[in-house]
Amino acid sequence: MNTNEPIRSEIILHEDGNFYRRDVHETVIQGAARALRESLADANYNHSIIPRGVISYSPNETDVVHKHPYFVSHNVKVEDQSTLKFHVFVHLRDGFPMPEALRIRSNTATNALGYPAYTLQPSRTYCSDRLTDLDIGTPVTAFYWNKDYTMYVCIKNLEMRNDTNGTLWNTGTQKTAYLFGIHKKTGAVATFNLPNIYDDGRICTGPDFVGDAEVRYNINMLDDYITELLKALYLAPFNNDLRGDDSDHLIVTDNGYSISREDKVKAFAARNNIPEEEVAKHPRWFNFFRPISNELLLDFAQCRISTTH
Amino acid sequence: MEPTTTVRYGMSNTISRAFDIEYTIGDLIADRSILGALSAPEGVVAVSNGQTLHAGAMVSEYPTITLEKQASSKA
Repeated sequence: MNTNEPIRSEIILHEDGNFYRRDVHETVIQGAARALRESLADANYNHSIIPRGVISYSPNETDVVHKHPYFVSHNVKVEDQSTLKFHVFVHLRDGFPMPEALRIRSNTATNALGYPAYTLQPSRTYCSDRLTDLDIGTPVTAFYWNKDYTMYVCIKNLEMRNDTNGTLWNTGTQKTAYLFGIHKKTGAVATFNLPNIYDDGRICTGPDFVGDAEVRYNINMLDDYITELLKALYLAPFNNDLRGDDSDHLIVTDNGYSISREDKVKAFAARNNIPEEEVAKHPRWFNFFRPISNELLLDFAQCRISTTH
Repeated sequence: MEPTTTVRYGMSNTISRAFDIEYTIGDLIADRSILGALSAPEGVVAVSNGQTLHAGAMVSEYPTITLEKQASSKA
């Protein structure tokens, strides 16, 4: 499958009055059963995107429930025919959670927007005594959510070993996870300047993001395996290394979700006492969206664009 | 006809051409004209089919190569 050669490029006039360039690519989608079978048996590289399954996840600390299809991609060099190696992409229609963030009401942003608006700070920078005495905010689970992008988490290099009974088990290899989004109009692929996210989209998972090596799964229990890995990502606390300048991008509503881009412009302008038209010229604003160059994520994005337009 | 290689950086920046048989990955990622044409920064790595290519590998042996920027900072 070649996802690199565009079939056609076109300029579209969107309802917002702006022109956007759209590249449409042709790809081949295999059936899930065939693709998984080939990944175990074929000694060559394979690459396909397989819509699969439903993830349900609702830990006590948050209220995140995924009930949407996710996607399995395998790009496999099978050295041992009993090993299955693949990547998983999870659609984040409910946003990317940032637990234990400290929510502090911003009067300036609230006045500018006309509804309650809050800034976020990492709660670990404040000791509990100060929290009690000063009442400066309430720890919450906030969600980064951007309506301009279709957001995904990719967990790369999932590896499972197949024994003679057909049982798969986690080989305990280190996994890499990414947060990224595909712009709904332009198809641009970007990550977001959030705590715990590197500028290439990698999520800072620590050295032990391997899953539970003791649990046995079969191929029909993939949902359980992925859910366990997502829990580790979702329960990581809102990190201390949030940079002060960028906290202006993290303004949330009463229900903890990030506000729209248009409202961010208003809030940013109000909080910094500068005209809205100047905000667009501010370089820090654009640093929040960082282009992705990762091969795997680009291939996935091209495939999704070709199948959704 | 010589085989062509497509080099990609980001979602929409690609070039396709035939490369000299002795032209290596090391040459490619240091070639400022190609990096400039792709709007790619210096310090990228070359990846194909999920594998990072070593500097001595021949570009012409790969139909597609993606240049990846390495992470430099965390928010």
